[in-house]
Amino acid sequence: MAFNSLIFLLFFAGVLAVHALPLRWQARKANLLLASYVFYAAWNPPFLVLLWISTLTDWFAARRIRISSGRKRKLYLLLSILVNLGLLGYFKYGGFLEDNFSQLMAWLGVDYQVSGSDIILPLGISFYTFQSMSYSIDVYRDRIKPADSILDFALYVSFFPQLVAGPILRAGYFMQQLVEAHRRRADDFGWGIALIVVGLFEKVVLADGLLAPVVEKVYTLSADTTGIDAWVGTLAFSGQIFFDFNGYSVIAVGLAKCLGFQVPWNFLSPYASVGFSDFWRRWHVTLSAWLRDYLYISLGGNRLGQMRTYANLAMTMLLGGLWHGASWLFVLWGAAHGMLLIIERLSKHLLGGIAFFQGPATKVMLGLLTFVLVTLTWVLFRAPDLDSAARLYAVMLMPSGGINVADLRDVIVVSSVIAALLGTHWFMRNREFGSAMKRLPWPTIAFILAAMLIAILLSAGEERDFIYFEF
Amino acid sequence: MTSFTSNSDPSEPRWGYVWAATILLVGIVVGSWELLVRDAGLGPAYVDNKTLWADTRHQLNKHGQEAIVLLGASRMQRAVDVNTMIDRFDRPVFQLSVEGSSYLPVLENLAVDPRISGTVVVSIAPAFTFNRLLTQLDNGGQAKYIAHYDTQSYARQLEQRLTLFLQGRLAFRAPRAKPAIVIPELLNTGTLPGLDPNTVFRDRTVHVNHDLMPGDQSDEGLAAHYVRNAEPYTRSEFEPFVHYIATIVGMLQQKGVDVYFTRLPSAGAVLALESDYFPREQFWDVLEKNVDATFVHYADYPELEGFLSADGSHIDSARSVEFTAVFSDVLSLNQR
Repeated sequence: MAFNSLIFLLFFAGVLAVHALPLRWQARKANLLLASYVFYAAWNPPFLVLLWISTLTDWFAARRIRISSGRKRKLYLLLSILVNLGLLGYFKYGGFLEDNFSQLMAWLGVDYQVSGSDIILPLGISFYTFQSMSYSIDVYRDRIKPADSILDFALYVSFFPQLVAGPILRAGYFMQQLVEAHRRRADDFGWGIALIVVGLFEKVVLADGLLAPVVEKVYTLSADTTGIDAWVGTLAFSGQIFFDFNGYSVIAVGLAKCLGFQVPWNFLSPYASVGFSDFWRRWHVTLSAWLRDYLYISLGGNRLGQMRTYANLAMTMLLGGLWHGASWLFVLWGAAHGMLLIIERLSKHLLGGIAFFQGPATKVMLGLLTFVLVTLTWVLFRAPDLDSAARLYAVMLMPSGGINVADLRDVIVVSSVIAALLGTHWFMRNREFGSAMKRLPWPTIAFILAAMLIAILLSAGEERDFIYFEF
Repeated sequence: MTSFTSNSDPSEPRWGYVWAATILLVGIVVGSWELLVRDAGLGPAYVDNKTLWADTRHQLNKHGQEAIVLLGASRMQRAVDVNTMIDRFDRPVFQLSVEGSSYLPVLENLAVDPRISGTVVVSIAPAFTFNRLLTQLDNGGQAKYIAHYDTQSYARQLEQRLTLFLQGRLAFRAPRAKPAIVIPELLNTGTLPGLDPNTVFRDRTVHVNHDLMPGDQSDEGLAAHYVRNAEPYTRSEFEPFVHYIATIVGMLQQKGVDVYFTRLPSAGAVLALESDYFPREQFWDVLEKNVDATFVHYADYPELEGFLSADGSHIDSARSVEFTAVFSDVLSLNQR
């Protein structure tokens, strides 16, 4: 039941209708929990059990952590981490580990046959295990108290607007919204629906309608393409992945808003980043904050000297890359970002004091350089295998003859969309989307929303899943 | 830096006005677009894609022994008018042929599905059965359809039904009514895009208007395509293939399925090439001898000839109703 489906619209209308009834707050929360389970079960009902395992483990672990001391506290924390990472490890990385082990054995001359078990990746497992686990860690660190109500905690883990692809919520942030009944506000509903339309426009029209076909032309070609095509396809993917994932996240914020909840933004004009640390403060914000708080800082962060800081950065980005998928390409993608972060840190250390690097023109230049380098790393993210990625890098960096797959229309579409995207991100760099939009006169807002809705309705394209559903 | 959380802003727009105006604007524009494209003859149109196919495949599961399933490529899909066949046999008919592809993955899928127990009619177009370049030509066509069908959740099936429901009622959802096609056409020629040469029906019957088809639709044009993509199996390659078909047919028959193989008509340059590349005695006859099923070759039934379109390979859509009636009678004659 993807957000860009008709069946989801009907489902959400039903959930909203019940949520709007004059019921007790507990009953309305129970409705949301039930809806979240129905939403999740719509993909594969047996995987609900995994969601329940994660929920019950952290519910139990956090309560025991609270009343225990010394080694026992650590043991209960370990239980939470082992169960959540165990689920993630088996379902997401089981096949990958087995394949690599078998290749290693073959390399060593040992005939080891893989079991051939076809493990299906449960939707959203990377998101909800991180979310659930962070609750136990926060209780362990005395940042929050364990929840009094299992209903509240279960709803925090499974809240359907953000269950399958984030934004990853923090327990302290979300569960305080569950304590008291929300006052119903027509404004929340109006703004929530507006966000849903904006998100759908990004997904259906921009990501799927305009950019995805160009990306597919370039990235499904098994032979060499031209340098221009490789750049056009990769720039198109830069746009596609942003509009796809940001579209999803904006819809999530909008759905939550319609129900009276706040969910954090996941993207803050990332293509206007100046440098890679800035990029990671703006791209998939809730994941990078999670990795910073629960991994980078746990590894020692920047408190243990220069070399250790670099090592921690590299390790965090490698694992962050692997979090995206069980493939060496994602590991390389994470490694590339780790390396770029280390280079940036070193450069700042050496050149940071030079006035030239503080000027506005230099800032824009560095911003564009950041965008180009980020775009280059997307090749690793999108290419079907290492050979294809190497081939694309070769023609992008040293253009040579190849098969031309992108036509003039593709070039015009991609360059226009990317130029508009960059322009918007630079304009919005220090602005907040909500207040920028709400400052417009109401007829302008109505015109923009109508144009987006018309484009959604008239672009009867092929239905595509959200990219981050694969993670 | 932008604030991490969004939302609260004291000066909320007047959302009631915003949404009333938005709905009005959307209604006017989309309603006008609907009327415009309908006026140009672009009515609601189904798209012959994985969605329509998967829905048909799901429907098949409900009909057990009653069902008649049609497999093959474009020849089968364009030859049979599903409604006519339903009338003729008084049984539900499911068109699962896919243009430009081999039927083998779907035949395998039906063989292992315990719910399938009716009649399966397979159209053998020589280039999609006896051709060693098949995988290259076919690119896993019907296997992709099966994968799509196999991975559909119940929610996805419901979504499919809803999508098809709207496709059959709203002209603005038709592929040719998309602004991305209409606007450039209007700017370039001053007219709306022409009608789609293919009319796809809800039951996956396809009617083709050859006058509207782009490119070379003559039998020579198709024959040239054939030459590029055909290479007969060698005897040693064909033997295991025949054995494999016999095994699948055996699996189907164990469930009580009646299997028919049929060779639909072809003529002119296409037939000449088919006869040259895939002589009947080397391929069709060998298959018939080694596979325990009913075989219907058009050459043995003169009443099946004379319905072809100018391409020499497909039944003329204007005569598909008539052809289906005759074809159904021939199948009935051969009933075991």
